[in-house]
Amino acid sequence: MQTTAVETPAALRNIETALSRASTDIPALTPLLTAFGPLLAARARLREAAPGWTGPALVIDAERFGQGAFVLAQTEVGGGFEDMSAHLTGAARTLLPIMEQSFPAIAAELKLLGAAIASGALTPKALASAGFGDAAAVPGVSEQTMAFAASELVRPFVERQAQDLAAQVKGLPWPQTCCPVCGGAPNMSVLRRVQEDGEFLQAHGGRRFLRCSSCSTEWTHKRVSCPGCGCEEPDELLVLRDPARVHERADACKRCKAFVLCLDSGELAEVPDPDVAALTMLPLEIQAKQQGFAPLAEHPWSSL
Amino acid sequence: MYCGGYSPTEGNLAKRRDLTQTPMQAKIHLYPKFAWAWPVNRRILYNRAGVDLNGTPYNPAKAVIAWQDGKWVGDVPDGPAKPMAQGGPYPFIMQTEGHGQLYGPGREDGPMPEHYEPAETPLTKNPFSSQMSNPCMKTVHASEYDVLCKNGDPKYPIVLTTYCMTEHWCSGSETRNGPALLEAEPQQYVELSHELAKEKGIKNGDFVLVESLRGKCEAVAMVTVRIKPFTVMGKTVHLVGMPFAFGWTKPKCGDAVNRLTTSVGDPNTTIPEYKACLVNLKKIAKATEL
Amino acid sequence: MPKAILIDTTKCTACRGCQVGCKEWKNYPPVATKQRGTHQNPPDLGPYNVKLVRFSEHMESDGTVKWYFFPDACRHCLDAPCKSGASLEDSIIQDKETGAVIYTEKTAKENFEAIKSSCPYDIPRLDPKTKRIVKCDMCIDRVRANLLPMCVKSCAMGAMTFGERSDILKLAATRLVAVQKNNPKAQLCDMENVSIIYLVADAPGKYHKYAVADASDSPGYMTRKEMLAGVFAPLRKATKQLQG
Repeated sequence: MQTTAVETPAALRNIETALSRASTDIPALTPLLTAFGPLLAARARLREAAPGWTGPALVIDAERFGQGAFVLAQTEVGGGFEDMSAHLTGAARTLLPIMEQSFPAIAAELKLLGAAIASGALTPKALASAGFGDAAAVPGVSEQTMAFAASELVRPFVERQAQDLAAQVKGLPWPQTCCPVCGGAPNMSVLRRVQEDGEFLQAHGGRRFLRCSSCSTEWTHKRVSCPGCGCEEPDELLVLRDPARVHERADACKRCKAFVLCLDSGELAEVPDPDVAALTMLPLEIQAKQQGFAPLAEHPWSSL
Repeated sequence: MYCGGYSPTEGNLAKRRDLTQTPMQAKIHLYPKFAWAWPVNRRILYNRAGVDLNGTPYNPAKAVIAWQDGKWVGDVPDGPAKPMAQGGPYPFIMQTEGHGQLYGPGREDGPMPEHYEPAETPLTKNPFSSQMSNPCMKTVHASEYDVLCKNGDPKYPIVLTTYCMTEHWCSGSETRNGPALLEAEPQQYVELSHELAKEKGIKNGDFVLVESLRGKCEAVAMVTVRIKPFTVMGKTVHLVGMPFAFGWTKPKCGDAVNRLTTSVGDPNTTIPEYKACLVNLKKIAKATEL
Repeated sequence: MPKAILIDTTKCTACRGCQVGCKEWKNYPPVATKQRGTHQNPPDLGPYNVKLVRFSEHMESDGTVKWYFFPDACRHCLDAPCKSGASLEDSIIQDKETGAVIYTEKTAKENFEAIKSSCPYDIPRLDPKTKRIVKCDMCIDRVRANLLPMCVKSCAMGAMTFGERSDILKLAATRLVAVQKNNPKAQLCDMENVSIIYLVADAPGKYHKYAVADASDSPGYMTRKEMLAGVFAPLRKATKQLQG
């Protein structure tokens, strides 16, 4: 199995068309789409402008990588993404007002957070660590809001760095179910038609790509297996789907009770942005949870 | 046969689906932890033949095994034996002499490859050998249809080859019931060269009767530049081709081309020789099978 | 945003998956055919065959054999002469989203011969039962549901690519350069005027008489090429005024 780390699909146009299509197709989801859609679009814009990996050139030990040592586990700078705190104040100026609009319930908290960032009361460094799960206190801002906002702020920079890092291991074998770049768990998968410029028959089913919940890197993984426990027994694997939306599914495993969302894009004229696709699959996600399955990793909207 | 395939700790090794591999193994698509290869999970037999006396791969880009720091890496080595320079035996460990063999005991024919003419041939002399056709071929003598033309039979001077087609699966017994597929390939045809068509006075689309010593089959002439006459030993030999996707179960689509072919099999497995036999053909005004 | 399909005939193996897939999706009845000395069957486009793989073979002067395959169907012209030639406003419409040229049930009221002769690619056919004029609709029902047109989906060789016109033009240019390396006569058929763009490796006429909008064999006062160029539109207006 090869890691074909694809670039995050060229973003903006794709996000916008996917959002408008989803909104037409499933009017019930419009509130969710109008809440998260502008955020996804703004994040994509920031990602396109963000610097990539600027640090020391990476020396990847292919042997160790093959045994499961992902890229960031092999860097000398302490196993993490590069410090992006210098860009976070700017990102906050762009993203926080959008989030305030989208999430009126926490708008007041976000305003306070924006002010704290602007005044320097919350340093960019502290904000960056909050983006990776550390605690940071701003009076009037709940722990939950802080974690949500901070992780959204660092995300475009993480994704942009991950694109560069993934390019370093393109073509190396990566049979793992965790992310080859950062070791994160997948929260989404896509069956993509891979057009090969060859003279032979083209596969129609599509290759399965798992998508990292932390840095959005995608990597190929065998199709019929549970990414939670590796189970391949046909009787144990279950595909949940809404008959009206056959290309969206939740691939669940009765053995380990895990599931991962899957967009079967083989027949689609335009493959929607995977984040938007996952957003439209929220009903399916809820259904899977109700049937006792747990996601391998959550989306920001999963616990709404 | 399943020796070694079940381990007390890992259970049934044939059920393993682990795709872990080293970069060296990835280059030759070797997955040592996927399923099980009897008897010691060696994936490529005689793999030490791929390295020189010191255990260095002849082709490092596609190495099966390599001797590194006093041990083999890659596949499970035969033996396990050291490189030959360190006293290891020849790589073909299952052969008495340890060498590779072009042929072995137990085959009906051989030992060396040879060109024989088919059981039916338009030639009277094999230009490559004093033996015309395979002396070990399996023949059937069960009925009046199990007969062969004499070599270079003037009554049946044309070579017929048979093949399958994209639109119909194998003999077509299922796909001929698919209306859209039958619409695309409706009836038995015979492909022939413009030269032969001229000789026989056949025009594209004419009904043709193809005859062998064994039977007859009607077909529609498909005159094409894709078939050219051969010149063999100074003589023109015509080839025609017919698909084997048709049969009597679907009326008016033509009958089975195997009414023409020979009942001859290869010496070891008796796989039939449907790729070549002798026929003759003529234009007919009216067809009953089509 | 207008869509387009690139049909790279150099990758086509004439398996006819598109021809059969199209028919199955549209639920068209089977047509009784005969073997007539060619693999091309049915012989021509028809009311129940809006996609047809055409076969043509050539013996070159150097003795090599060329066998060409052409999955023929409506080109969905950017400025469709058939639309301009129609007498009713809504019998032939162009979908704004995709650029697909669509024949509605009102085509039953059109003059079939007039519509047919206005097409530079000889595409329109008459359904004798419904009297409607029929042709490929770019699988508009599928495309609106974000699904690939049936021919593209069923193409086993990846010879057909559907997408945004701008992307397809780029892909077409790249493929042309690649194919031209070994086939200097390769060209993209009428790329500027149509949505279904064929890449051929040899002179288009060796694939199909109507592979490109050709002026040479056109009857009447106006060449087919001129019709395609949109010259038909003012003429139609003039006719209408004359007819009142």
